[in-house]
Formats: sequence, C-alpha cells, structure tokens
Amino acid sequence: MNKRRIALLILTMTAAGLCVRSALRHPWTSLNQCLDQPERYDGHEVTQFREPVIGKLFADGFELLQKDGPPVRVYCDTTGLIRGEFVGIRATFHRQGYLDQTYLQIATLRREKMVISVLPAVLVVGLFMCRFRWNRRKFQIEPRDRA
Amino acid sequence: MVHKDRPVHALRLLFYLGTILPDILTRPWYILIPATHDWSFPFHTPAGALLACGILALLFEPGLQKAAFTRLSLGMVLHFILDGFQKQIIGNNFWLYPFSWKDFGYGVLWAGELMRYIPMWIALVVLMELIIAFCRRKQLSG
Repeated sequence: MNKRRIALLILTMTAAGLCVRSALRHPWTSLNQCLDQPERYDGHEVTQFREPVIGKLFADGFELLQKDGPPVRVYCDTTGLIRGEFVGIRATFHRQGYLDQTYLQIATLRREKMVISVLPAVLVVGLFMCRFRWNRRKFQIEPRDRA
Repeated sequence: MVHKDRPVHALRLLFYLGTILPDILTRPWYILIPATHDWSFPFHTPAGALLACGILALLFEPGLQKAAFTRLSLGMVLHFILDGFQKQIIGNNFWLYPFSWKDFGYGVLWAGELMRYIPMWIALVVLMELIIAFCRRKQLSG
C-alpha cells in the first residue's frame, strides 16, 4: 500500500472517530432522546429537534411537528406564530410528554434559504465534475483537459 | 505531474467548493435522514472539515494535491467565518471540536435576515469572475 493510501486511511479513520465521538457525546439533548426515555430526561432542556415545524395552534401553545416522530405539545405564548413555519426552539421536557418553551424563534424564509443554498452547490459541484474527472486506474482526480 | 503552466486562478473552483464543503457534507444528510445529525455534525467543525479537505486533496493527482488542499481549506475557513455571523438557537460554531464544545459564533443576524444580502454576494462573485476573465483575456492576447 503506498503512502497516499495510508494517509487516506488515517484521515478517514480519524474522521470516523470524530463522527463516533459526536454521536456518543454531545452537549445537546434531542427531543427524540427525551421521548425514548421520558423519566430520565424529565426537566431537561431540549435544544435539538428534527426540522421542527409549527402544527396546530392552540390558545396556550402549539403542536410541534418533527420530520420523524410523533407530534409534541408545546406550551408557550402563540403571538406571531404561523402554522407550517419552521421554528427554532429551546424547551423544557416533561415526562408526561410535553414541552415548556424557554426560547422560540420563527425560522423565517427557511424554505427559500434551502432552495437558494442548493443552487450554488449544484453549480459548483457541476462545474467541478465538468472540470475534473476520476481516473479509476490511477485512483485519482485529474483535470479533464489533460492531454 | 506538475502543471507548471496552469494559472493559479484556474483552481479557484476548489476554493468555491471549500466554501460549501461543510454544508454539503452535513445538511443534505440530516435533512433527508434526521437521525444522521449527530454523526455528520463533525464535518461542520473546522477539524472535521479540514480532514475532509485533506481526504479530498489526497484524491487529486500528486501535482495538484497541495494547491487543492490550500484552496479547499481557505474556502472552508471563509465558510466558518461567515457562519459565525448567523444567530443560532444552540451553538453551531464549535471551532475547537473535539477539544471543546465552546461556541465561537458572534451571532449578528438570523438566517432569514441574512437573505437580503444574498444578491450582494452573488453580484460580488460575478464581478470577481468577470474581472478574472478580463485579466485572463488580456494576458492571453498580450
């Protein structure tokens, strides 16, 4: 195995180690963690949600919808809240399965931001693929205009 | 093989790639598959993104590896500097991960508020590209 492949292996394994460390030890508590172990996370502040969106609105709060998982009741001031909007939220979890909001921010223009973010990414990646090619035999990226 | 005659600016595409690398290594995955968030997150830190730059650079032919790494890294640095301006509910600027989870963001504007500056950024990049194209044409004809 040549030096380049050894270096690639070392870097890849180091990156994998960082990923494992992040998955096992991170400072945030996710809503799904709380829902899986409600007794353990009773009273914990939840800061990690999976693409949270405002669902049904009530007088004293709303239903929080996540990309996966059941809807969760959030108690908060509903002034300015709009159903269907993405939301950034910090909340205290209660073992009964509801949240008390401690901080909330409507993520305005999030969908538009996603669309706008995709366009330059597609352009740059597309240009990269036009400019460079993968040489399978040499196991390397090289310019397409190589003579 | 070293491309001694390749203009330095011809590799600026790698700089642009570096500016989006932390996001393309993380966001598509946890938006599509939310469970991957905790696993992919390190690539949105300087340490993880630098490793990704190293891996990508090593995949280039030997003569381009150093230049590729430099440009990818510079783009990556710009990404994190600019990300620091964005307010977050929880931190997103863990510049010293894995040694610390301290958030280094300066939190000036929410993401929605940053949108108004996008046309300006696009105009700046287009202007820069036009200037580069003009200089190249002048260099080739001169």
